[in-house]
Amino acid sequence: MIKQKASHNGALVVMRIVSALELVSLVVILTNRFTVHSPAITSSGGPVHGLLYVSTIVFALLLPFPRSAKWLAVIPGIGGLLALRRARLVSLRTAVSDFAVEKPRERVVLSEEDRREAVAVVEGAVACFARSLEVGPLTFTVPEGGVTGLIGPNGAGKTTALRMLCGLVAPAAGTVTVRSASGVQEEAAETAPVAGVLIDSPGFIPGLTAHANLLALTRLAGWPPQFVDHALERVGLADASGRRVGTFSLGMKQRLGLAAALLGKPRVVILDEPTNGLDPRGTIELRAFLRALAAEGITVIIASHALDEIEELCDHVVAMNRGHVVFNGPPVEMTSPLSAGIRCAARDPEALVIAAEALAHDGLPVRLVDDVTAFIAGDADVGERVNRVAAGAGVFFSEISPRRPSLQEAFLQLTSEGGADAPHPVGAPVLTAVAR
Amino acid sequence: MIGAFRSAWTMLARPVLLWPGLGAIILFSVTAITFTFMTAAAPGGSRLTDPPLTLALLSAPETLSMMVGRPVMITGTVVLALAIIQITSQYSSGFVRIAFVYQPRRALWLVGNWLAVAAAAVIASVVGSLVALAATLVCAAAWGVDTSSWGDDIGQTIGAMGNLALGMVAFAVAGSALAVWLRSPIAALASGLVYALFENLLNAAAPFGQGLLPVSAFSTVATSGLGGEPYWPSLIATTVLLTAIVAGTMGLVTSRDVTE
Repeated sequence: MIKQKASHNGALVVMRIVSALELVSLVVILTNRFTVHSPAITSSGGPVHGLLYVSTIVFALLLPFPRSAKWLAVIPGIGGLLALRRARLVSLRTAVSDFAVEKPRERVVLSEEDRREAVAVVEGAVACFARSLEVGPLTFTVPEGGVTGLIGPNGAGKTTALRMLCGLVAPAAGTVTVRSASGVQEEAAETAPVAGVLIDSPGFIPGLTAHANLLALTRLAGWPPQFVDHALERVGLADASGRRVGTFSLGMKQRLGLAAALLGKPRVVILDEPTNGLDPRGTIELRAFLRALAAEGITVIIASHALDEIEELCDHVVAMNRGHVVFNGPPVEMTSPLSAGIRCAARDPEALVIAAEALAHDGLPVRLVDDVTAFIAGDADVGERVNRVAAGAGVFFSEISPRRPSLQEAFLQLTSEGGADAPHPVGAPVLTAVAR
Repeated sequence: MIGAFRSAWTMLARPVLLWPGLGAIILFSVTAITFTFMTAAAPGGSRLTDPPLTLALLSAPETLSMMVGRPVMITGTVVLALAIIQITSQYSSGFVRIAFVYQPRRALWLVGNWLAVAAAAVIASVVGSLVALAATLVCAAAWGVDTSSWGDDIGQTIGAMGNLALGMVAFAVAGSALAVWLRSPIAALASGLVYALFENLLNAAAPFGQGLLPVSAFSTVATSGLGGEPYWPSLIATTVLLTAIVAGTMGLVTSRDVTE
């Protein structure tokens, strides 16, 4: 995760200190009405307070506030608050612009076609919290329909990206666009939200029933109350609608979260780690459910660090690492730079070395994975040749199996030092040696 | 706005909140009235008031108005707690995140919650007043207080009930603001109660702010100024304070990150 400290140039520090002192002196003046009076320092006419007060007014007046708010600076205390607030904003903007100047490695470039086919487009979006930069700039698209997976390790920025997509976090720079409905909704019509969400853990009030929780959301959004029953039926919780959420199991809460995401019959469903807490059967059912949603034309965006799950489920992948997008496209494209090949295992290291020398002599690109395993890049036909050459050298492998590069390997490759330009550890989780 | 109010009311009107709250108001209203009559019946009258309250004084026309305002502290505490729990439960459970996705106009969410807690405050004050009135009539009969002049002041009694409701709404809005600022029920409740104690001490040390600072201003309005503080300055102070609280809370809700 990228965390860049806000800039601390001298003017901002002075502004903060003077503003804070002015506020402190104001508090002392007010409390001195009831306690000891020390006019030289803290009375409203005292020289120290006078100096602080005037300087914060000047600060506040010089700063580019809206004209209508400038007069507030002359009210004792408000000038200090305005100056402090302004100091914080200036810090953040400086940090954002510093960050933009750095021009971090941006691997994703969007084409017009990408934009046209996308239901969501994120371009150069930066998420900025409190005094530090958190994530970005992010650039990726979400194609309409199907399942899009956001992958990356913990802290990569997946959840923040999802929060920007559903409007919970406004980007400090760049744009996030989610296209409105195009005839997908029927009952929901104009009131349908663009996206339904399940962010973080499912957030429900434990003392309320499942039905009441969803009803509160439905009423807030202005949808008809029958949406609640429909959503509960879809996730198989109709029978438990009258039960308090506090009595639900983790899996039931997760399903209720899914019901909340589907509540307004959205065209985009955003789910953050939806299989968390589900048992294997629940996970399989959820995958089938998400595929069914995609088949209905609903775009599903799912964030997960379980790459096997994403590989099985997704038509489009957005890979993130340390607050940046490192890949945006179909999973096949992500794994394509890595070669398929044959994995061979020998009974002992000596036999493997003999076989590897024979294979290399025959012109095959062989790499040793560990003491008894080797990997030979190539298509499935290479298997027969490998078998023949090794047998010719008097070695019989105990295992010969074709291997396709996984999303996990592709991700590790993309996020390794040197990225896509570095030599590939093809088809091997750990490359310990090359053929001699 | 109606949708936002109904949404907030759906969350507020849960049995686990409603019944204990109403039970506390009824119990303490009856207790407060009974205690008032008991102390008034003691030799020399109640020493808690100046001049001492006696059974003879309780036969005055304004007794009903005064009794309506008796349970103000417990009703105020219950209303404050309800408002705090209403808001903080949405923050602590994460409900507010989904709510803000489905209703991006956060001000509407806040107004809906204010309307709901204000409605609860009005209901609580009406229940408290009616229970106090009933208890007063029962106690008057039990202690043999002359009630013949009580009917002369029905208008003022109704006004006192309105003032109690107004004071409770102020407590509810203040509780919501505390909850939005602190987001934790324990922290918000503790801060509210500690502040009330601090204000009492401050008023004792320097009576300058009595009836003008939040707790005493809201209480003075709720008791129609019958506790000794002037009513109108407190009403003006309550209006100013509520305006500031509403503006500050609105600004905070609309600008603050809710994802942390």
